[in-house]
Amino acid sequence: MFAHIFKMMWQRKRANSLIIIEIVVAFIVLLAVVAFIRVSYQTYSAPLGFEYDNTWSIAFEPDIEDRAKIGATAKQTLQVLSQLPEIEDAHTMYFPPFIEASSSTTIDSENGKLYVLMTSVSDGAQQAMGMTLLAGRWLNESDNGQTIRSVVINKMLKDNIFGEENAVNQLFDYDGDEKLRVVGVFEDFRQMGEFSPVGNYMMFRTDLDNPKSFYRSINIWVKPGTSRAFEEKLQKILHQSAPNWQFEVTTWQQLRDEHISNGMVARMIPTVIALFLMLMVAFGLLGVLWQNVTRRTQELGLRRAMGATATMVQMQIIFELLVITLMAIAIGFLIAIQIPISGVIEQLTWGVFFQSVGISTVIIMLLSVACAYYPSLIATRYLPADALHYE
Amino acid sequence: MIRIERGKKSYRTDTIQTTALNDVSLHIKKGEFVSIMGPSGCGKSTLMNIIGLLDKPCEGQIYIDDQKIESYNDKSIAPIRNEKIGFIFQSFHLINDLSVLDNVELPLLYRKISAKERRRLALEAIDKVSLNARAKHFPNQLSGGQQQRVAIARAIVGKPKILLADEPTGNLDSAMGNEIMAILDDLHKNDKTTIVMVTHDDEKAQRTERIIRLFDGQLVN
Ligand SMILES: Nc1ncnc2c1ncn2[C@@H]1O[C@H](COP(=O)(O)OP(=O)(O)O)[C@@H](O)[C@H]1O
Ligand SMILES: [Mg+2]
Repeated sequence: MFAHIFKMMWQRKRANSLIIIEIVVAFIVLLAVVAFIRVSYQTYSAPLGFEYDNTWSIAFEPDIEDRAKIGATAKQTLQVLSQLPEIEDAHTMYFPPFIEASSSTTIDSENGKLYVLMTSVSDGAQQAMGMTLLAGRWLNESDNGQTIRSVVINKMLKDNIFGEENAVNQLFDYDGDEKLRVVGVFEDFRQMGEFSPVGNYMMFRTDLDNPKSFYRSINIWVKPGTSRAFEEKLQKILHQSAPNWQFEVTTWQQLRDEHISNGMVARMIPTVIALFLMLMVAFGLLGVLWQNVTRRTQELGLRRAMGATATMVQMQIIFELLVITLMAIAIGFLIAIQIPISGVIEQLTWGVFFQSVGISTVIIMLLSVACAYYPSLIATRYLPADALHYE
Repeated sequence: MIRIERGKKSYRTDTIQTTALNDVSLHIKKGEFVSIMGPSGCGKSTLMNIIGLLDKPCEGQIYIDDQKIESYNDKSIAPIRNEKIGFIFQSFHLINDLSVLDNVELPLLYRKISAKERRRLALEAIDKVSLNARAKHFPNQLSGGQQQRVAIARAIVGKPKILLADEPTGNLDSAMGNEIMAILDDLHKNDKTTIVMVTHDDEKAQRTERIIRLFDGQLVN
């Protein structure tokens, strides 16, 4: 029986290779979409590395005339804020999280040039944000006035520079001739939010006593349950402490909500295009497979006239299409595997690739079994006499 | 061997209902060679399809080899189609993607038979219709007469007791038609096969043992 089926398939190689091409295209499109969703989900669900509850961000526009006093004014404002009963903690930062702004640099390592995001925060900010320390310590006053500046780095940056080795108290090259000392390693700080790629990160210390220190936001940790009404009081106090400065208050929750909705909108168009593409391909495939069976109604009728049961005939059709589908998937796989081999898409790891291949294979197989099962069921519902006259 | 009692078949299309077979009772004995004649549209093919279990009568009873057909359920009826009946169609109905040999083997695929035995029986049947030299050819490389001989080989490969031929020579010229008749004669005389043949050709009908005439879905005496 198998020899018979393969003989038929070989004789129909023209028609079958068209079906194979159709399935290869469908498989690759599906694989791309599945892998994209898989990678996006992985990025989205990777830990942020910090908490954003009850945290407010105060962005400020300093008075330009007052340039020399920026540091002192900001420090004094910070102190005033810390005194308020509603506020548990206050820290400076270059930029708050969840906005599309960050300082960045490139660092040379054995793994090539590394793209690294960075910030500078006042002492204790990491604890306030609930970040996880994996090794060493956070930055503190003991780092003051060292000839080699101290930093804390995230695990990915540590792995990229030092590999498996201990990084605490090790030095690495930064910005040409400067060396930095690692004093601590933290899990992660995905400053630009859930939609941003997981990447390298490092944090410097902001010395509030140094008038040259640079920061663009003050962030406050309010007591749980503090309402937005507090903003009014806050603005008043801010205005008193720096009358000529502009302050803008937002909550980190708000910033995150905006980040999420912007991220969703940006992904809307590619998602709609992908869905549309998949729909087109699925309908194309459906049509081709469906027609492949219906145009054989006469042949199926003949087989039954010769003594085949409807079940046997159906099994044959399903088997044929499964073989064709598997061949197509094998071809599609050989084409698609070139992408992880070449490594052009960094997030497409082997794990993600094979998982996506598995999911796509199952979907395509189910689709093709359905496209063999239903039309052949219909074709074998005819009495053989009618099937033989089917046009 | 074949018995129909009060067989009735009508077709219903959107608007009209055609009675193709109206209360036909018929008995064909074992080893008989019978021809069925009648004008076009009188129900000959319908009768053949019902005898061949390719179609289901609306009313009436069919007996094949003294066995009453109780159910048209596929599982019970497929083995009877496969083992007891060989069917020859006016339009051959060969599978173009299969060689002569594979076409002839087709009914045996649905039996528990080894590939070797299948091949042996198929070659034997091909020999009977004198197509040995063409076994590896494909249907579209053969003449109409040769194609019908392939169809005959396919019908007899499983050694059925009953051979049904619906206008087997209808699409052939007279020389080819005579070849087919010679083969059927031979099967009747030497293999004792019960044969029912539909024909428009008086001369061919005269060569059979009995002529059944149909008119408007009914038997005429
Ligand atoms: N599948 C069908 N649907 C509707 N009418 C049919 C069908 N098959 C046959 N008929 C009608 O039944 C009658 C008998 O047809 P048929 O048995 O093919 O005649 P014959 O073989 O004697 O020419 C004709 O009127 C034909 O039009
Ligand atoms: Mg007819």
